[in-house]
Amino acid sequence: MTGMEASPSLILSVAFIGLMAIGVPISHATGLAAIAALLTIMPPLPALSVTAQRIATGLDSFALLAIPFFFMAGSIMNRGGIARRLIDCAKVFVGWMPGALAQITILANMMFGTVSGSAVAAASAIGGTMQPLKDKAGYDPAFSAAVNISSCPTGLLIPPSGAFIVYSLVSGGTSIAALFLAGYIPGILMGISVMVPVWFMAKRRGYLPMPPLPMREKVAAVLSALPSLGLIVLVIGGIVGGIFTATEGSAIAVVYSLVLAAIYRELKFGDLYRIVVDTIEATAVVSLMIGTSLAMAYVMSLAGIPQLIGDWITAISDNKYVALMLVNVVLLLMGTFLDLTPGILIFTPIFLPVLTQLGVDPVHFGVILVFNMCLGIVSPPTGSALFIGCAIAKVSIERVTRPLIPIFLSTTMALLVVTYVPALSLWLPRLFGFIK
Amino acid sequence: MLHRIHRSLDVFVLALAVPMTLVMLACVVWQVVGRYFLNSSTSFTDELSRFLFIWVSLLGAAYVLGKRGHIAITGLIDMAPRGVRRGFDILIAGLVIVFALVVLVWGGWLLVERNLRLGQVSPAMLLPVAYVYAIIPLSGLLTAIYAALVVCEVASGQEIAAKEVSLD
Repeated sequence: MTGMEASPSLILSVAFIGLMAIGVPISHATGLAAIAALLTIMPPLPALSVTAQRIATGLDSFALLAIPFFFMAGSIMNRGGIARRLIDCAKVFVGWMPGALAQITILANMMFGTVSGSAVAAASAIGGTMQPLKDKAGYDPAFSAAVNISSCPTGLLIPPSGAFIVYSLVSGGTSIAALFLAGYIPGILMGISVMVPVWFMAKRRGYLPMPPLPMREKVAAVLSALPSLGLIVLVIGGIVGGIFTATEGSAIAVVYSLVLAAIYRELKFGDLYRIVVDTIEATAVVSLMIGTSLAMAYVMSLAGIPQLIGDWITAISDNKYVALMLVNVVLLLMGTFLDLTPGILIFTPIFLPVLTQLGVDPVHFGVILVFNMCLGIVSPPTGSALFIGCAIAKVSIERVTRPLIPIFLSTTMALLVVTYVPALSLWLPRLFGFIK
Repeated sequence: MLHRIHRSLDVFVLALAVPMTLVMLACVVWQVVGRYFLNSSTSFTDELSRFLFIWVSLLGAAYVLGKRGHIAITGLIDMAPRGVRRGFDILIAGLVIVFALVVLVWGGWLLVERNLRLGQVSPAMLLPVAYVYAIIPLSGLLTAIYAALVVCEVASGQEIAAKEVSLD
């Protein structure tokens, strides 16, 4: 390696890390680092126009439209009664377990997260509804918060999920349908990996099961949740069945949720305007980050950074299982302070080339990456799920850390299982013929 | 006064972005309806919705900056004392202005100008591509104005609390 090659990559990494550390928004830090490094590679005018062009062409993708539409459908569904209906439905299935209220939180978070596509929305809607019940039943608030925090990200793996749409784009067009199908088993596994330690913790703390419900109430609870869950069946069924693309499915999801809201009369006209503005905000934040990240990925490839990282990893071992372990360690550490979307955008161009070269399927890596970032938003000291969960249960991060540790170890085990048993991710997409 | 300017700018940006978002949604719904019920497939809905997405994204990117909503890692500067923190807020806004003016306005303008010169048009709607790319310098300009407003607000102690927007 010569000094000529080293300097753009050095400028890129120093500028990027330095700018982020002083609190420059990640999107703008990415753009500034990219242009700084590009100026050492090419003359100023082409460097500027090429950066602007990468941002624009990066956003010129029909697949990306699924992000605002799924967000909008999720926000419309997020209103009023859906949290309560999903909680009642969850009662039917896990109410008999010790620590019933905790187990209900987990299952309801999985269902709500799937419908809304948002961990934070799930934690606040489900956690917020369950918290007073758990307080009344004498549950330790730190324990309640730990359960809510660790189970809310499952919906990011279980489709539809914006995380996979972002990954599909930055990984160079990995099939969204394949990624959606691949997320099911790992997402459910993540939920189970929270349920198991919670079972034992609840038993030791003496938290009780719920009295059994009469059959009629059970049936009524499940039936009332069906229209909300029907959204998933319609959208995922349509995408997997090849009836429409993921983006078209997301637009249908908006229409479906509007019809549902009209039937339940849970949405006012003013709410709709607010939802559109919220959608624009979320889309803008993610889009600008995608645009500047693609500009940076372009500069990184010119500077040979993925090659460099690949050489480092293969210097340690060219065994894909060892490489995956290294990648997991890096992602878990970085996940403690990086959010979901920036995590996906930064690490896909860095790790995907070398892992594909070692024989890892891009769909499988997408699942591993999103799983890691799910753990990242849970783990202290920072993380969106951690913050919202603590705020709802009114406990400090210090107090929630203790009950969080055994659950976190269990979910990390699930991550390792998902990493080393590729079939868990690849079996469904193979079954439906989306990958060979 | 500062807040009035800020609000008027918000009204202007949303007056463009909200209808664009709704048309974008209508395009995609129409695409499915058209294909299955009217047996007509149109390529212009695909193209129009993609162009609207770029516009909405970049208009929104400027708007969100005014709300201090872009994701940032603030762990380090949150520990700084109030006065130092303010200094950093102003420095950050300054760096955002550099990005907006250099990359988006200047780089974006170069791109628009080249496309105008070459007369590039989109395949389905025959729309000059330069019009689509025009949002880049426009977004840069709006971003720089919003960032300047943030500087004034911080300097005069009227800053609004940061609001984090994200997908997770």
